[in-house]
Amino acid sequence: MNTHASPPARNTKVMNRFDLTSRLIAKLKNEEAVIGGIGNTNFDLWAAGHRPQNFYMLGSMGLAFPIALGVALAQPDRRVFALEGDGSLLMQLGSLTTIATLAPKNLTMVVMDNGVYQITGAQPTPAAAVADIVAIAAGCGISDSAWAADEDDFERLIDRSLSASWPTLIGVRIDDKPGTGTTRRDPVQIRERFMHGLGVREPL
Amino acid sequence: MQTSGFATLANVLASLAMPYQIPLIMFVSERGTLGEFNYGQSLVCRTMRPVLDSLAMEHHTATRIDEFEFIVDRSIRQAITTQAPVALILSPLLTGGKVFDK
Repeated sequence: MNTHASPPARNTKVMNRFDLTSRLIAKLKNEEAVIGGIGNTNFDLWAAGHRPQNFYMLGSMGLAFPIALGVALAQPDRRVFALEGDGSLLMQLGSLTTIATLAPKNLTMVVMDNGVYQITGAQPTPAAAVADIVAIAAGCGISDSAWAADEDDFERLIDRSLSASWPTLIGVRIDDKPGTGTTRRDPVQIRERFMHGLGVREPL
Repeated sequence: MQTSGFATLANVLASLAMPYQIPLIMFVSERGTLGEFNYGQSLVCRTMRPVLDSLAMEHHTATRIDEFEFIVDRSIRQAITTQAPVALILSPLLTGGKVFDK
C-alpha cells in the first residue's frame, strides 16, 4: 500500500494573491460585489483598493462562499465574487454542494490555494499534497471549475465568468506571501458600507 | 436547524452575526429534552441557552401554537429594528418532538 502520497503533478504557475486580487478588481466596472475570506484574503482585497461593494470577513472561517451565495441570491442582477483560501474552504466543503444545488447564475468563486494555514503559522493543509480543490468542486456539482494556469489564464477565466449564467470556480496556486495591507477591523462600518454599496440602505 | 446543528454555530454568531449587527433569525427545533433517548443529544441541548446567554443574544422558547405568531412577529420586528440576531427555539411542547424510536 502506498502510504506516502506523492504530490499530484501540477502544471499551474505559482502566483501572488495581491497581484491576482488587483487584476480582478481592475476588471470590475458594474459595482460587482466581492466577499473577502478571513485573514490575508481580505487583507489583500482591502489593499487592492476599498470599494463600497467589498465585504471583509473578520472571523467565520470558511463562510466567504456561503455569504457570497446569500448576496448572489438576494441580488440576482449583480455579479458576485468570493475570494477564499484553500484552508478555509476545506472547513466548509459542504457549501459547494449547496451552491451547486441552488446554482446562482451570478456567482464566481476564487480559491487562493497556498497549501498552508498561513495565518496560524503555515501548517500544511490537505490541499498541499493530496486534495485537489478544483476536482472537489467539480465533484460537488460546480462543473465549471478550473485551475488558472497563469495570470493571463486567470484573467481569461474571470472575463468568461462575468458573462456566465451558472456558478463558476477558479483555483489559483499562490505563494506564501502574507497579505499586503490590513483591513480596518470595524465590523459595523464594514456591513453598513456594504449595504450602501449594494443599494439596500441609505446613509444616516 | 436542530439543537445539535446550533451547537456548531458559536464561532459564526460571535464573529459575524453579533459584531456586524446582522438581524439573523434562527429557528431551532429543540431536541435533547422531554423524552430524548440519545444521551449525546441531551447533553448538547444543555449547551444551547448558555451559548445564547453568553453572547447576550435574544431568544425565546415557543411552547404553544396560540402564542407562536405573536412571538415570531414581534421577534422578527425587534431583530430588524435593533439589528440584532434572535433565536426562536421550538419546544417539543409545540412540535411534538422526535418520536421515540427503540
